[in-house]
Amino acid sequence: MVAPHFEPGSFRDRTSRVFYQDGAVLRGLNAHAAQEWEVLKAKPFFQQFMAEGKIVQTEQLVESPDASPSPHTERCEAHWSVILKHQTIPFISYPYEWPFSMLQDAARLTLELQAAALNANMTLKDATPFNVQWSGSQPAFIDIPSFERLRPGEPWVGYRQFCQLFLYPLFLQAYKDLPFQPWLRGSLEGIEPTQCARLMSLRDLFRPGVLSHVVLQAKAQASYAQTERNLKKDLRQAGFHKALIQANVSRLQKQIAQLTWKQTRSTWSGYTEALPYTEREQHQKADFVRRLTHSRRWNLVWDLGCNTGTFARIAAENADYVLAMDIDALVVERLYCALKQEQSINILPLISNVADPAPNLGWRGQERKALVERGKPDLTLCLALLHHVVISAHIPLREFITWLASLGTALVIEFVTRDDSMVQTLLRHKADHYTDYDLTYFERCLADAFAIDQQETLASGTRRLYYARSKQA
Amino acid sequence: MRRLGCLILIVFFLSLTAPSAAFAYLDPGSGSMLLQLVLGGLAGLAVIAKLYWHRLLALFGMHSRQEESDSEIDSTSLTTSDSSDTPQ
Repeated sequence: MVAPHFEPGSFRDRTSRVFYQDGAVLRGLNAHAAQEWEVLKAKPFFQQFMAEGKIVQTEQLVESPDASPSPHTERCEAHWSVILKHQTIPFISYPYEWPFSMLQDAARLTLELQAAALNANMTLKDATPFNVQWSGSQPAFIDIPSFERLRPGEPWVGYRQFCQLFLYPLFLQAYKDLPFQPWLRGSLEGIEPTQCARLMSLRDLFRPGVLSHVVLQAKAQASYAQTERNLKKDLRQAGFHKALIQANVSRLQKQIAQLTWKQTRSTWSGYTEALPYTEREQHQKADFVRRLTHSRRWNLVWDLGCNTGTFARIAAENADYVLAMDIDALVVERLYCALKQEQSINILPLISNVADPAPNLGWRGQERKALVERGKPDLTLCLALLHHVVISAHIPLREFITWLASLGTALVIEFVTRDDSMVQTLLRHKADHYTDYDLTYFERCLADAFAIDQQETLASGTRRLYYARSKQA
Repeated sequence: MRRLGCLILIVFFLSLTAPSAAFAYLDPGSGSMLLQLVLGGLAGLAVIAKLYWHRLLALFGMHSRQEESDSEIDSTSLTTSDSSDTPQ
């Protein structure tokens, strides 16, 4: 048996901790969390949500947990009271990689669980989108110890966190048409009430939820930040009860459901309507990708610059899981909505800039992990992307190819020559210092890092496809 | 409109009860906890009334003995307050 490896991002809640052992995702519970678990697992709502896939599949290990020591041995109990085993999430993703509707659906799920928990005299003690993970377009809640018995007279402790990490980011996008992703990537605790309040105009005060959840909360925070009173006790004594939380949750559910992001156009949203190549070439490209992706079964495929997800879908026919990534939030938003409609469970759409993917963040830079650390692909699709990487994002061509090779991946890559209209458009207003953007040089770089197995030129003659395998695999 | 009126009433209560001096640090979610009274609808109003009854009495020069005894308990119970406000 291999020694347990603790998940470095699982440390905030001291009553439990996620660790990995022999390829399994396990969670140790201390005596307090074990008591709550005993109550939770008997609740019909919990069993029902787990059966529906809305809560991650979880079972209690029957063997003695003695083999798995707690990391808090110097202060707390030497061993966990209970060990849970969770179904493995195919690929961990973070809210700063999600489009609007994914964060909205994660918020809906959180409120749905909180409402059901309240009915059963339980509560979610926190409310963060990091507790929601995806199997394709299907969200699942993963943090079992978040469920605790509701203590009489206690308010919803996770309400402020719900606002900071769900509600305000959604307000930002729906009411101000500002992307929330850069903010959440820059601040893991989300948007403070006072920060959100400063962004709201007089007109916004009349939008649902702004006056109460934003302005009043900012005011209340400022007024009570340094109060000496034990408000939790005061509220209990004054008769605070769960009907108040239920009223709040119910109103939040309506407000979240009403929010829409009305943007209709973006840089890449009309790409497929105005393809820079013919339908015949599109078919030729699809056939090439299908032939390669069907040559074997793939574990994890990355589609970089996925747009409408045409090639991600082809790859998904013969892959366990596909990450469909694009820099354009609206494109990913539309792809998510389409995949949700199709009830897809093996294509995960993410907003990701290949020139600036999600980095290591948080405590010790290990709390939230860089994209590459969460799972390397065994196949990468790089179609109609390279010219943007080199000319628009200024990444030296050899460095990009070397980085792809370092993933140890097989590669389907397209080179668009300088005669192509798209490349000419990119260079139109720029000084052309991109001497490395050259077909011969590209083929040399590719051959240095990859074994090139197949290549094919599209009918127009300006686009060339390659299938290659990394020499570092 | 009724909701707006209610919210204005609450703003009044919040400003009424804002502490004039602050000496100790308490949970930064305190304001958010109080706000949940406003968001609790009609059921919240009754709790607000009870919570601030003593303050209203004080406004009219009628001191509440219960509030004084509560304050004493508060100072000793600070250390036991809210250990679950650490989100995961």
